[in-house]
Amino acid sequence: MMNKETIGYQKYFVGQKWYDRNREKVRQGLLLMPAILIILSLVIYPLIYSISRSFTDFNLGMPEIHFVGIRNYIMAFKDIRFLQSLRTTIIFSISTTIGGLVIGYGTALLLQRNFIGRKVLTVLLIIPMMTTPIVVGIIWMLLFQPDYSVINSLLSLVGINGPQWLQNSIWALVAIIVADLWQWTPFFTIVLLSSLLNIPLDIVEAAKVDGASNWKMIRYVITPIISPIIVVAVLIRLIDSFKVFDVVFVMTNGGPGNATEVMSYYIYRTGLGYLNMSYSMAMSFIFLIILIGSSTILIRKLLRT
Amino acid sequence: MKINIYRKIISKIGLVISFAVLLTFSLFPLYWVFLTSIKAKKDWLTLPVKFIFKPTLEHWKNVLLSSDFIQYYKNSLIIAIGVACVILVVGTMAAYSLARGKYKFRDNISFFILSQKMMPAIAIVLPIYLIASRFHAIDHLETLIFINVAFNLPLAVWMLKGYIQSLSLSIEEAALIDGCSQFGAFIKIGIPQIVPGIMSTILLIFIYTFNEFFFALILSGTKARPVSVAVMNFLPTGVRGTMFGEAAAASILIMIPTLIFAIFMQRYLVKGISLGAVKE
Repeated sequence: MMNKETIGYQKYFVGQKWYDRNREKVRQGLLLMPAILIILSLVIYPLIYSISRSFTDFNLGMPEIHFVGIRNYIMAFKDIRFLQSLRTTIIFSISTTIGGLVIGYGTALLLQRNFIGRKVLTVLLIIPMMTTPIVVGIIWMLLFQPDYSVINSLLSLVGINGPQWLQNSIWALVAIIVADLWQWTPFFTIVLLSSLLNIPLDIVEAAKVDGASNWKMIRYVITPIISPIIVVAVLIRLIDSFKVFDVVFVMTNGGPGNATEVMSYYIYRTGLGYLNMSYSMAMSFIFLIILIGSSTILIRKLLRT
Repeated sequence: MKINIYRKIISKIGLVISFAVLLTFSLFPLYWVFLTSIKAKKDWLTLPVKFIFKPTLEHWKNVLLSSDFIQYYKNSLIIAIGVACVILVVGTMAAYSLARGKYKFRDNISFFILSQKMMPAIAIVLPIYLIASRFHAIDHLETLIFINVAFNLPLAVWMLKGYIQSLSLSIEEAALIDGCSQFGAFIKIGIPQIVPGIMSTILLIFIYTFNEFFFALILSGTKARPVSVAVMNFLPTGVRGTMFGEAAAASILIMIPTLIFAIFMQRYLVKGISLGAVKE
């Protein structure tokens, strides 16, 4: 005969057995919990909140909220300013990534040789990467001041009449790209340099014995070997530069007009400047999807290596 | 033979010139900021620009003595240290779990956490702003600490996980026999072996938080404002050709902690910045 107590005991016993068998798994799972909770409550919940609001006409200036379906999303694709900001962002992102790759790879190839003072030189060359982004903006704004500043002054020494950098819609974008290049070219330099230094020497020696010239060596031997790293570095920079905000905020405020208005900046302005929250949330969701698309490729690549 | 020597000399000269150009590009802007910070107004408003002048400390005095800059600097330090401490604990626990755990979906969770690294701040900050203002949490240091923890956690977990995976298990297993739990053995024996890795992760997070601008801009008022936002106060508005002295001095003060850290641990930084794609 089983009375209640023994059934209870048996149940407890079954649970206990399961716990004994999986004790380590449970503990390991519990250790993960704080991190998961933080990410769920501070990233995922706000994201869901934002997506749900993006289907309404939520505006900080209006008390009432109505469901409007996908109107905000349709609006975004008809909004010339949004498409313009997408174009500006793409131009910015591609030119700073390609520029950085070219200059950075060149620098890495130069630094790869063995010479006295190489370590010091490397540290000096990567200092810009460590500079606070907001300060990068201030520095370049200072350098690009039209009247009393140094870039135009130096240009006039060579007889070039420099443009009104930050006041001209084309040159303002160039100025921002230069600022970003200054900060992030070292990223390519140092990432590519460390993979160049890892190339096994015998491969390089073998190519030398076969009589490869320097250029051929770079083109046909070295570059193919480190190409996976190049791809990863390019993807990281593409994604990061797509999210640019600080430099634009300091240097041009998106201006003149909206010539340098990148996506982050336009979304920020719509939400907190024009108070049109639902629309800016819809745009930020589109932005997110673009980023997810590109970053999924990156992460898959990273997990494979 | 002679041609070969010429070629060598030419390539040496080329090398020197290219390094000179690269060094100028990377260091001149910083040098110029320094000059600006010690340049008096009369020397600023001249053409062509002056490289030699009588230095003044007037801007430094303005920044350090007659503004709230120090207060904001303190805010920044509190936020950055707070974030580093929370991440040290939470991140190490999570990384251990993901590196050693034997439960289902472990790799999916890893993927999920790393994918948060790609989250654009703008997609999160607007809803956070709304939620925080409902809880009256705007302009509190705690809010900024939490949001920075959430945003930097993926990178920290990813880096720490790499370090933990590089540990060999055999020493810890010896401790298990002495009656430690697995996690206890990891804390006593595993962690001391990866202290450099943990330090560099935490310092990188410190730098990122110290440099962070976007969240701070939106989620802080005057009370909890960190220095990255406060420096904007020194920027001249609108008027062209105005003074940059104060902004320059403030910029240098902001750069100091990150530059010091960065120079000492540049080797580790690369690993973090490239998400561990580069093997040492």
